[in-house]
Amino acid sequence: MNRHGMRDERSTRARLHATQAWLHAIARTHAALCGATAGAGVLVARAIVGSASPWWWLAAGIVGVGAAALALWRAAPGGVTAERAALWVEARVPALRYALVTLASDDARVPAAAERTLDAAVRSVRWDDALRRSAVRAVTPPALAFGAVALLAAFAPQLSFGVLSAGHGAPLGARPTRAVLDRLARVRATVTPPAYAGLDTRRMEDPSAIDALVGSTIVVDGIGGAEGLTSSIATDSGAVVSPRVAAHGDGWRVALTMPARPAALRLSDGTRTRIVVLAPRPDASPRVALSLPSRDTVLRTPTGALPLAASADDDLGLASGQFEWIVSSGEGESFKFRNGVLGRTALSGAHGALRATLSIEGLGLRPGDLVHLRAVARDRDPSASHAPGTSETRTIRVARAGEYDSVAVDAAPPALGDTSQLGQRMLLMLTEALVQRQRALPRAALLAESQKIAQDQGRLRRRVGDLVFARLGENKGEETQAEAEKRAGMTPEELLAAASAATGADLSQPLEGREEETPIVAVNRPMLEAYNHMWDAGRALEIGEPAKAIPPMRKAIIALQKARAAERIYLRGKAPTAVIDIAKVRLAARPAADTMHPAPRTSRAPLDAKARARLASLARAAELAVRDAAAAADTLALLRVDALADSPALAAASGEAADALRAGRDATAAFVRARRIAAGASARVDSLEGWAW
Amino acid sequence: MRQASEWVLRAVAIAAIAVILWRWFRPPAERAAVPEIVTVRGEASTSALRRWTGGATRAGHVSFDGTPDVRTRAWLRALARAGVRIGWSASDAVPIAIAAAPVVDPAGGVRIEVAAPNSARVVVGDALDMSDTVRAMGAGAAVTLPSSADTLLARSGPTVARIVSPAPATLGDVLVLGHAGWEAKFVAAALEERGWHVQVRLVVAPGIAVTAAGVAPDARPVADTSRLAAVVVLDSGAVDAATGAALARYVHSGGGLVLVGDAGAAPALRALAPGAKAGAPIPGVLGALDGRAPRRGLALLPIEDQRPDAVVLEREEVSPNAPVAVSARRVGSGRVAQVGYLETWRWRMAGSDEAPAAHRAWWARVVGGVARAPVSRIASADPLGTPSDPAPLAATIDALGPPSAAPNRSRAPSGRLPSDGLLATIAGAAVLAEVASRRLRGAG
Amino acid sequence: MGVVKNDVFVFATAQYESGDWDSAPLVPSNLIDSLARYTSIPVAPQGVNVPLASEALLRYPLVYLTGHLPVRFSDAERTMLGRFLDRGGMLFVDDHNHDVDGAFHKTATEELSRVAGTLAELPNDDALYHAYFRFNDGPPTTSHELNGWGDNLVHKHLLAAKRGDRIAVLFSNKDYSSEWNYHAANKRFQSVDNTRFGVNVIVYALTR
Repeated sequence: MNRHGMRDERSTRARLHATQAWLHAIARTHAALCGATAGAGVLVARAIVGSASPWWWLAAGIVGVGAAALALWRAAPGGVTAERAALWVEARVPALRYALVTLASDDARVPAAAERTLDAAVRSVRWDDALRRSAVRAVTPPALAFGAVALLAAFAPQLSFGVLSAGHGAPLGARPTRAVLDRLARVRATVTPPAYAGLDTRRMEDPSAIDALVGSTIVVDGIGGAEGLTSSIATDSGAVVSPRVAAHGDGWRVALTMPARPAALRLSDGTRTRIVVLAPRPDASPRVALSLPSRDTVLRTPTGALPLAASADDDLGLASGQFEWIVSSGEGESFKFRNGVLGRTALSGAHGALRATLSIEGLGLRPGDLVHLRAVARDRDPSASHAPGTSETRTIRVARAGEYDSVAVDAAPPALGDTSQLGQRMLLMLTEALVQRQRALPRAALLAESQKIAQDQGRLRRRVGDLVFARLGENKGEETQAEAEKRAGMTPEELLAAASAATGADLSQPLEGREEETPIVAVNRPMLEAYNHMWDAGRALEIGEPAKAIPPMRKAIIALQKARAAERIYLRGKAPTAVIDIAKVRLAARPAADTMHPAPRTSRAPLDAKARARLASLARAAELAVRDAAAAADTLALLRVDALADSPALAAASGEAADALRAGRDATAAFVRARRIAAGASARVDSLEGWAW
Repeated sequence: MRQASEWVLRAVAIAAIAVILWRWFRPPAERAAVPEIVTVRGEASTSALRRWTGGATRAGHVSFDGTPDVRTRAWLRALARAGVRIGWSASDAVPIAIAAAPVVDPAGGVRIEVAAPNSARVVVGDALDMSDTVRAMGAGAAVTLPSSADTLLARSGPTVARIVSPAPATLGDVLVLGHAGWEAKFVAAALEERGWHVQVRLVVAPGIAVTAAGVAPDARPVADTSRLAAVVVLDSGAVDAATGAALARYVHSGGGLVLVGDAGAAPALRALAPGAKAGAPIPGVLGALDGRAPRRGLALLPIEDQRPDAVVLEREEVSPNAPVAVSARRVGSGRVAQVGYLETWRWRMAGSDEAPAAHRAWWARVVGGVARAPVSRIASADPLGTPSDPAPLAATIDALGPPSAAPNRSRAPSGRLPSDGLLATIAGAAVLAEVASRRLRGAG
Repeated sequence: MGVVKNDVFVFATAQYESGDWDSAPLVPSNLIDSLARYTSIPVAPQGVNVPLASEALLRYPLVYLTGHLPVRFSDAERTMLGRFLDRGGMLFVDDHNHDVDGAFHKTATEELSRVAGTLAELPNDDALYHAYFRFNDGPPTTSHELNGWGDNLVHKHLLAAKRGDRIAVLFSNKDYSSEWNYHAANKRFQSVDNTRFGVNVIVYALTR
C-alpha cells in the first residue's frame, strides 16, 4: 500500500529496482559529503598555516576523493545489488518474512502460485519510510560536518591557535591577527655586499644582528603573508626610513641597504615587534707608503730625474693609484702654485705597487722652489664621499743661491722609529712593577728578575749604540767582529770621546737645542745621551737595585723623544726672536670700557650623559628581564645599536645578553659584564678610612 | 588465649589514647619545658615555627648556619614574647654590618662600607653582581660601586647583610675662583664633563672677570650653601678679604672648599686650610705623567704643618714621610680640602690615554670629598621586596638575646614516654589488631 | 699674583715639516705684548716653537699655525695633533696667503678635516667674538683683504671644527699673520690696535 493506505500497484521488481537506486544514491551522497568534508578540512589547515601554495588544493582533492571512496566502501563494500537491497528492506520490515528476498533471488525456483502469494505479501507492505529515515541518517551528519568545516575554512584567518593576542600585549577586544609568532619568530637574512667588494653573498638564519659592509643589500624574509607587516629603520640621527614589506611566494620579504651608521631594523605586525641590529662595517681607505724618495731632500740644481715608488694595501681591493705633486714658487709674501699627477696606474687586488719617474727639468723648477710629493691610491668603492688613501709627503727643495743652510745631498739620517722609545717605556714599566713587588720577593728572585730586565736594557742600548755609530759615519756592514766587540766593551765616556772625535764637536756638553749645531750632531747628541742613561740603568739593574734604575730610564725616554723630534731637518735660517718686557707693558693699554666686556661663559655638556643613559637602559632591561624577556631583549638590542659606534665592548656584551634572553638562557653574566663596561670598575679600599677618599 | 590477647590489645589502645589526652589537657605548669631542637640551614623552617606558634611547644632552640632573616627573627621574637622560651645558636655567623651612602658625584655611584672582623673576607655587591671581595683591615672595608641595583648586599660566610641602595645625592653648583689660565680652564672643564654644574669667576684683568651666565662680571661671588655644593679656589690672588670672609662663613655653614696651590696662603683663607704653611715647590718627576703614578709628574707645593684635626689624603709617593699632596679637615659644619699639586692640567694633556678620564675622576673625587650634598629624600624601597637587614647578627642578639648552647638531644622527654604520634600509631595498630582477631574468630 | 707663580701662558707656534711654519715670526711677540697690555694674565715674555709631531705639543694647549706653502701632515703630526685636540687643545690656523684657491688653504683644510672633522663656518655671534673685546660684526677685517690681496675677497666668517660647543680648530683666511707680523713697539703708530682679536683668541682658549 502507498502512503495513503492504498496498495502499491508497481511490480515487486520495479519497487526493488527503485529501492536499489535509492540506496545507491544514499551511499553516494554520504560518500560525497564525507569526501567534501575531508577536503574542506585540508583547506582549513591551509588557511590556518597561511600558505598560498597551490599544492594544498591538490592535497584537498586527493584527501576528499580518498575519504569519499572509503566512505562508499564502508557503506556498500560490494556495491548495492538487488539481493542486498532486498536484504536491507527485509532487515527493516520484518513483516515481509523474506518474501522480498525470495522474489529477488535469481537462483530461487519459486512456483508460480507461491510467487503470486509472495508478491501479494510484498505489495501489501511499504518501506518508503525506512528509506527516508535511512537517507536522513546517512546524509545529515556528514552534511552538518561539511557545513561546520566550510564555516571554519571561511573564518580561519581570524583564528589564532595557541597564540592569544592578549598574551602579547594587545588590548582586550583587539582584532586578533593571523599567527603573529610564526611570521616573526624565525627570519632569514641574505646579505649581498656591494658589487665592487667582490665578496660572496651570505645567508644568516634568525639573526639578532647583521654585520655587513656599508652599502650592502640586505633582504630579510620570513614565512606567512605580508599584510599587516611593517618595517622601519631608525638611525642614531633620528631619521626614520620605512622599507616596504612585500609578499614573496608563500612568505614576506623586505629589502634595505646597510646604512653608514648603526641602526635598528624594526619589524612589526601590529602586536609584536622584532628588532634586528644593523652593524655597518665601513670600507677602510687604502694604506699607502711612499718608499721613494725615502726622505725630504734638497737639490743643488734642478736637474735629473727622481725615481718614485710606493706600495698600497686595501682590505677589499685597489682600483687605481697615482703620484701627486705641488710646486710652490716664490718667496716672502708672494707665492705661486702648480700641481699635477703622474704615474697613474690601474691597480687590482689587495696589494699594489706604483712606480714613476719625476723629471725635475720637466717641472721647470727654479732656485727656492719647493715640490711636495705624495702617493694616492683609491679602492673600488665608487662613492664620492669615500676618501682615498694617501702616503706621507716628501718635500724636495731647490736650494737658493747664498743660503746659510747646507746643501749637501745627504738627506736626513734614517729614522729611529718609535721602537726604541716604546721599548724603553716597557722596560720602565717592568722596573716600576718590580720595585712595587720588591718587599715581597726574596733577594735571589729580585736579583734574577732585575737581571732579566738588565739583559733587555742591554739589548736596547746596543741597538741605540748601533744607530749612534751608523750616524757617526761607520758603515755597519763593514764593521769587523773585532771592532764590534771593542765597541761593546767601551764605557760611556770612551764612547762619548769616540763620537766627539768622529764629529769634530764636543759632545760632552748636555743638549739644550742650540740652533747653531749642525743637524747631524743635533740628532746624534740626544741618542748618545739616551745611550748613556741606558748604561746607568743597566748597571743598577745588574746589581739588583731596580729603584735606582728608574731615574736614568726616564731620562733615556726623554732623550729618545728629543732624538725623534730632531729627526727632520729644518734647513732654515734662525727666526728672529723678540722678548717682551712684560712688566713694562702690563696693563698699559686703556681701551674704552664698552669694548672690554667678556661674555658669560657657557657650561660644557657632561661627557658621561650618554654613559648614564646607557646605564639607565641596562637597568630597565634588567627589570624587564624578570617578567618579559622579549621586551628586555629588544631594549638590549637598541642599546647595542647605540653603543656600536663608540663602545664596541658594551655593544658586544649587550648583544650577548639579548641573545641569552631570547634563547631562554641565564643572561646574568652578560648583564654584569655590560654594566661593568658601561659604569666602570668598582673601587675597593681594604680599610675604613676616616675620610671617604 | 585469643580473647586474652584481644583484651591486652584493647588495654594498650586505651592506655595510649589516655596518655595523649593527658598530655593535651594537663595544666601548663606541669608540662616540663622541653625545648624542641630545630636545626635550620640557610632560612628558617617555616613548619617548625608554625608548629611552635600552634601552642604545643613551650621551648625551642634554633641552630642557624648564619643568622636568621628578618622575617624569621621577628617570628622568633614574637614567640619569645608570647612565652615560648627561644634559644638560638649560630655556629658560623660573622658579625658584619653594612652601610651605604651615595657618592657625591654627578656620575653617581654608591659607597658601601662594611664593618667586619679584621682579615675577614667580605663579598660586596648588589642583587645583580656579587663579585667584589674585600678583606677587612682593622674595622672593615669600603667599596665604591659606580652603579647599583636597589638592594646592596655584603656576605661573609653564611651571614648576609643587606640594605636598600640610597637615593642619589642632591648636588648644587661648584664655583671656581681663579685667574684666567690653563688650570682654571681644565679644572672647570673636568668638573663639567663629569656632570657638575660649574660657575666660574676667572679674573682676566682688574675689575674684569669671565663669569657664568647671569652673573655680572664685576659682581662679588656669592657663596651660598643653598646653591653651591663647593668652592674651588685656584690661587691666592683670586680671593680678596671680603670674599675670603664670605667663604669662611660659607664653610662654617656646611659648604665645601678646595684650596689649590698657594690658595691656602691667602690671608682670608689661611685659617681654614688644613696645612698651616706650604713647603718649597717640588718639581714633577720627569716622564711620570704617563706612568702608573701620574701625579708624581706634577709640580707640588707640599702642605706642611698639618693642623691637629687635618687628615692626610694623599702624599707625593707611597711613603709615610713623603710630602703631603692632599689633606682635609672639618671646619664647623663644612669641610676644606687642600691640594698642593700645581698645573694638574698637564696630567690631562700630557698623560697616558686614560689621563683625561682619570683627571676628571680625580677632580670629581676631590670636590666630592668636601661638597655639601644633603640627602633630601629617602630611597623608596619595594614594599614587597626583601627588607633591609644591615647588621643581621647584632639585630638577632638584640631581638633574641645572646646565643646559647643547643640542649643535649640525647635526653628524652620527661617520663620516658614516646611522642604523641608514636602513641597514636600504637593505639591505632592495637585497635586494628583487636578487630581483626575478633573477626577472624567469627565473634562479630 | 700669589706666592708661587705658576700657570703662565706661553705662546706656542707649530713647527710642521712640509712648509714655511715660521713665515710670521713677529706675531708671537706682538700678541704677547697685547695680552700683557690688556690683561693681568701671567704670560711668558717669549714664545716657543713646538714641533707638531712632538709630545711637547701637549704642553701648550693653544698653538698657532701659519704658512704660505702646502700643508701635508706626516703620520706622526696627524696622530699627535689628534691627541692634542681630543684632550682639549686648541689650534689657531691662519692662511698667510689669504687665498682660498691657494695651496695652503686647500691642503691645510684637507689635512685638518681628516684630523678634526669638517671645518664649518663659525657664526659671527659665537662666544669667541665676545671673549674679551666685543666684535659685533664677527672677525675683524685685515688690511690685506681690504687691499685685495690674495683671493681678493673679504671673508665674512672664520671656519672652525668644534668639540662639543668649544672651538678645537679655528681656521682663518683673513691673513692675520700679515696683519700682526710687526714689532710690538710699532703699535703706538696705530689708532686702533689691530691685535685685539688675537687677545680674544687667547682669552677664549684660557677661559672656555
